[in-house]
Amino acid sequence: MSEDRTLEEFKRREEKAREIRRKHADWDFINKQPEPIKSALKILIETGDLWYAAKITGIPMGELNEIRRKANIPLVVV
Amino acid sequence: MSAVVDACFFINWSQFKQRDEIFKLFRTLIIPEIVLDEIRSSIARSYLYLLAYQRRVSIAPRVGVVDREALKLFTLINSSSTLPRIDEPESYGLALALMLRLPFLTDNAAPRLATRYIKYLREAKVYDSLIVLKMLYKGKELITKVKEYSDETGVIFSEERLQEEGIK
Repeated sequence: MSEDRTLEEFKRREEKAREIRRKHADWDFINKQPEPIKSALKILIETGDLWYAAKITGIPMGELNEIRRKANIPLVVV
Repeated sequence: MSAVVDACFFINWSQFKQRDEIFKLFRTLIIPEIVLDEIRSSIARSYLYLLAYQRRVSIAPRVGVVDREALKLFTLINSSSTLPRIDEPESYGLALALMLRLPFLTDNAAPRLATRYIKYLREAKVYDSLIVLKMLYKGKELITKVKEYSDETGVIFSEERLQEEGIK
């Protein structure tokens, strides 16, 4: 498989993973969270990047990971 | 053999009931000091302390030579418009693993993909949790453990990723 095709395939997988995160997420729980937790969870759903979501919002990564589980957001390995 | 481990991988793996099985593959886990602060959840911290007591974990100090290598990787991967981005601690872990010629354990796809496309990284061994599970278990037991791992950690594997490893 060529580099372009593989990276295209990766982008497709990422999009599917984003859909899975959006679908599984407990939006009621997310929308009830105070800032910056709410934003962190939304960033996580869109990017799938726990470290990035934690860094941007200043929430410790381990803490955000625990909240992620309560919000039912899966980490999708693509 | 040891393995260098990323914070996110360690945090999630520590929630897996069969977490100790990883030591059938690796004698010790090396955690870069730079990611140590990120391991704050009570389960992951307790596990870290237990492993330290058992001398099955070591902390790699932050050193300039690895930092320089990490910066090189960080720039190389993140300057690509097509590769997924890599974060700073992760590039440090990858650089350390590359320099020590040890596997790097991470669930982020960026380092795994980068080893395919960046010639300089071809020798790096990057394993995600699915590869680790596949190294530990076979056949029906593997399918069961993958499900248990997902249930216990909230990490799921894409259909394509499962197919790639011949699991689905």
